[in-house]
Amino acid sequence: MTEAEHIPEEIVANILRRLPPKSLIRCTAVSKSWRDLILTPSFISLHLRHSPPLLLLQLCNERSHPSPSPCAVRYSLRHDDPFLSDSGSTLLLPPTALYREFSVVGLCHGLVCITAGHHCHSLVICNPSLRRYVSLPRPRHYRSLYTATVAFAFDPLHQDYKVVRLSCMVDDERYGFSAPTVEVYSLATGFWRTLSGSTPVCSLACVGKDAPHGFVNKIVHWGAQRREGDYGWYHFVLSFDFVHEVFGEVLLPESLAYAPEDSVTVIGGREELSVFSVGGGFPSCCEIWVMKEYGVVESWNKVFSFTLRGFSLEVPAWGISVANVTSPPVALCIRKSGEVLLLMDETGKGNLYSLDIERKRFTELGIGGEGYTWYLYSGYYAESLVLLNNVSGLVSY
Amino acid sequence: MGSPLKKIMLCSSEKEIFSVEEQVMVQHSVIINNMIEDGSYNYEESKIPLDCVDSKTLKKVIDYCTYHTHHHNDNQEDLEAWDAQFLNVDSNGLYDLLMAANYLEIRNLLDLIYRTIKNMIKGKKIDEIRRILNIKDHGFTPEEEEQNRKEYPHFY
Repeated sequence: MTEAEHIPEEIVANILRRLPPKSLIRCTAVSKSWRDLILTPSFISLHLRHSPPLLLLQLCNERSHPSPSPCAVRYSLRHDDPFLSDSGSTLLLPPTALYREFSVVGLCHGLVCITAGHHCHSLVICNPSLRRYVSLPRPRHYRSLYTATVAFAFDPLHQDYKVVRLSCMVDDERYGFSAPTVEVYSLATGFWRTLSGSTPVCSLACVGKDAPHGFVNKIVHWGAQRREGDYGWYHFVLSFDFVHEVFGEVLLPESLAYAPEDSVTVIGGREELSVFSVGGGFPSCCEIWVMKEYGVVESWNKVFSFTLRGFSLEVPAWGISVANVTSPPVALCIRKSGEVLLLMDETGKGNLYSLDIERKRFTELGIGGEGYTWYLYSGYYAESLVLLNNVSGLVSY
Repeated sequence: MGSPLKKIMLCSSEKEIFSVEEQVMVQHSVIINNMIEDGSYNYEESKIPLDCVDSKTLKKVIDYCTYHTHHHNDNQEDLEAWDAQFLNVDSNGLYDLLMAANYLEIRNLLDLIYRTIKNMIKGKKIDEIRRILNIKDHGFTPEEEEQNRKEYPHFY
């Protein structure tokens, strides 16, 4: 007869990995062998690999919440099914991070990185399923006018979570002519380091909308631009490798690189590097480009294009048109199915669509809200036990 | 795939011999499938010794494999009801089945047991989990146990 105590650890791990983090915290007090197992890094990563991915949507509706209030930002966790049905799970963020100016800027292994303001000065990394967080020390502040953007990722070589912060000076003389100042925070050390070395001269396009989920092989990508002689603005993709802490540049197809009026942003979620461009002219042309072979500029392929004519968004090839569109759509992310999530502004009302290029379908998801949706972050999130082990400065809430 | 007519012999820890349709075991057990495929099983003489599986458990395992071979076209609800009835055993019986399914690599039975135990744990208090799973020795020192109870009184 088999006794509970004689079940091999591997089998116990296979049972326990199916439980949500909340149950597992409780299980650490069931027996010493369960506690030792649940706290091992290998169990934490086994659990994470099997945690079902949910799509996190962050909406903020300007009109429905005219004054700063704790409920100005709404988070919703969706199943990755055709209509993004509500999972019923909620994202419990630390109380300090619920104010309007805070936004999710990165998701990694069940950890959520939240920041506030143009300068990304207040930063929090939290695990909502464990209700634990760390507040990062304040990064540098500059006297000139600047904007900052951050990205959050795991460095597998050093087994460390890192935040990179790029500050671009935007005063008149330097805008587009200087390199951003770069700092890197490590969760293991708890400190920021200023990164010296060569950073390409650039200014980041659409900071914020260009949320840091444009990852290809652990390298994060942003749409970037710099001033170049007669062309005015020159567009390219800036990359940062979290392991080696080096920057790189990926060239864009010529039609995008030398289109000074356009905006080019990176869309995350796909294996291949993908960008979304919005033309500055009238009618405005919005395009999705995919780089089939990383780093090979000839392999850029235009996979889709819309035309915004007046207030009508048209796809002539599919015979589709959407009326009352007040501004060009914003590409949020590419889903695991390959569909692209787009935020549309229809007469002042934010509305989410899923674009399936392969099957030629453009589906309204009925998610948005009453007022103007002014910011929306989306990315894959899975509940995890990461941060369960001691990290200095960890706070429970 | 084995022929439906052929039978193979399984031998429990009590040396009791069970004769089973080859296809039933080949379809469910990775280990037995491998033995048949690589030709290491001799139909004339071999019996597969399962030294760590007792007769009672082996009989249940064979029941499971036989039922699922012949009823795989049944609707999901009926199969789930049968499975639930099948696993209506005490915790030690459940562990015996778990070890046997693990040894024979019967993936769908393993998965069923994993899910069943998970559901027995989920949302339960610690004292209940210990009772349901018959965990007698929790391994904590009296001081550690006291500390846990003080720190998380709502867990117990």
